Amino acid sequence: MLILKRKRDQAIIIGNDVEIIITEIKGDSVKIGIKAPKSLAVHRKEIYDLIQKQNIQATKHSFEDIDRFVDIMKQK
Amino acid sequence: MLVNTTRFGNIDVPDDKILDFPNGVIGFKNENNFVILKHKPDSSFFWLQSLSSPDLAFSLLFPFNFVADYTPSLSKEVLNTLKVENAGEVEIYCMVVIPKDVSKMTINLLSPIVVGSKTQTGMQIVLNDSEYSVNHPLANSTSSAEEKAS
Repeated sequence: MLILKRKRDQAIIIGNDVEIIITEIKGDSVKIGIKAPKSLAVHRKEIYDLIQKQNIQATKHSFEDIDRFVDIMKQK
Repeated sequence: MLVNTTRFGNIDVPDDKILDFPNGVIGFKNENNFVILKHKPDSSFFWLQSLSSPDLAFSLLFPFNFVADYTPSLSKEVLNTLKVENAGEVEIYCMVVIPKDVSKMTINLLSPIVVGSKTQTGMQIVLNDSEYSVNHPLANSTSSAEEKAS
């Protein structure tokens, strides 16, 4: 992992198309500006990780699991 | 195209049903080819089946029968990636997770799977500006909707 020290208002360019700017530093919190092509998705990592985890959970069902679920719901 | 799958055995997927996911799906960026299979003829459940990994299939639900007022917004960039002109040409599905205690079943409204119906292109989008949950509980709404469907 590349680690760079930046002061407020300094920036980083990744490749030719992504720019990261430190816009504000307040205590523990940093405001980061991101300039990237709209086709590139930008996520807060904890959201990305949460979605990845849910995605993986959604792969764990067998065909019978769905049938069983539908049967149980029909009984209610 | 003949595809080997764990849940459905060997299936023949018509060429016009093969879906291209240029960005894969979150956590599975190298899975780029899928087919969407209906679980059973009269079911609201679907499977997003990988064409290259037989065991990989995501459980999907068509969300609008089960969640009132679900209005995912599709940006211009999403419509461009799907190669469609407007949101009317897009099919929307949400992943579901069914734990051992089925009353705790949830649906991912935050990052639906969107597919251009005629363009055979799909992706998973994240509705960052929304209040939608990645694990919205379905217990109460599901039973009445499945009854309506049967």
